[in-house]
Amino acid sequence: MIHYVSDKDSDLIRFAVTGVDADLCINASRLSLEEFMALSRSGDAETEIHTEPVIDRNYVQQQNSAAA
Amino acid sequence: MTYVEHIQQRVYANTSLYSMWLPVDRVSVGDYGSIRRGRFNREGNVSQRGIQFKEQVSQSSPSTFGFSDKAKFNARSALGGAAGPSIGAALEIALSGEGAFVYQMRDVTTKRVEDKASFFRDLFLAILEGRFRWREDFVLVDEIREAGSATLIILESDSGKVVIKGGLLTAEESDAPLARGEISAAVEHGSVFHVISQKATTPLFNPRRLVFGRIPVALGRWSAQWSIG
Repeated sequence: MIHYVSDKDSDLIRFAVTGVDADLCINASRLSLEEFMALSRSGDAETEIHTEPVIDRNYVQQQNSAAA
Repeated sequence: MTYVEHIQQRVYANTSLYSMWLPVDRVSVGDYGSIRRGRFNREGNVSQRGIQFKEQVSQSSPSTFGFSDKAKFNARSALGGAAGPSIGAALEIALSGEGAFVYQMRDVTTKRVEDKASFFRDLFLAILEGRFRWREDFVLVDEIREAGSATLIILESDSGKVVIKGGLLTAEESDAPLARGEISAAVEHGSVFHVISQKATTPLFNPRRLVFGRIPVALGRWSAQWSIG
């Protein structure tokens, strides 16, 4: 999973590839791209980007449960 | 759910990869675009937007893949009777139920972004700086599987039977016999869609959706702990 966090106090930004379901990502509220861009540029709050698979993870968990 | 989406979810459950539709379509690492009804609509490659990266190429292990649902295999001898388990003159595949399928591929190679941290950093920076106009429905491909040959058979009716001839066929599904050698498929009954490709294809890929969020609790300046890898 890829994370990005902006630092509201500077122009610096950080990126990272972390394990799945990092707390940072779970606790983040989702934004539209437009909201994200506006918030990131304003520096009013910390924002993050991560990536996720296209196929719903819940489906895979259901399949695994059914197979068990 | 369409047949294609059903197959894609089954394949994903086994591989964590997305299956390409149509199977003969190609996709490359770094491609981006949207997915509609299970089909990837390529818009371009991030390298065209100035995001450079190296590919890591390796032979997949295993190098053969086989998936099936509601399909039974039966090897036939040249005289029409049952053949031994290893070699048959033909392979009969009985399919039952809409969406039943067999999907096999051989000589599979993995290609992925070598340095994902740098890759995504450059991508996110390009988006943030407005150099790359990202769309919310876009996905990004950071890994693919290329196959030297592949065969896909899908049942569109309630039942069907397909006979595969040619090549060196075995009844062992795990050995991907349907993707080996020059083969042909004859539909004995039922409505069946099939693709047999003896050239390189990209049957599996890893499309990632970008998710944008706001961190609700102030983490403090650089308070987040990171692990790279």
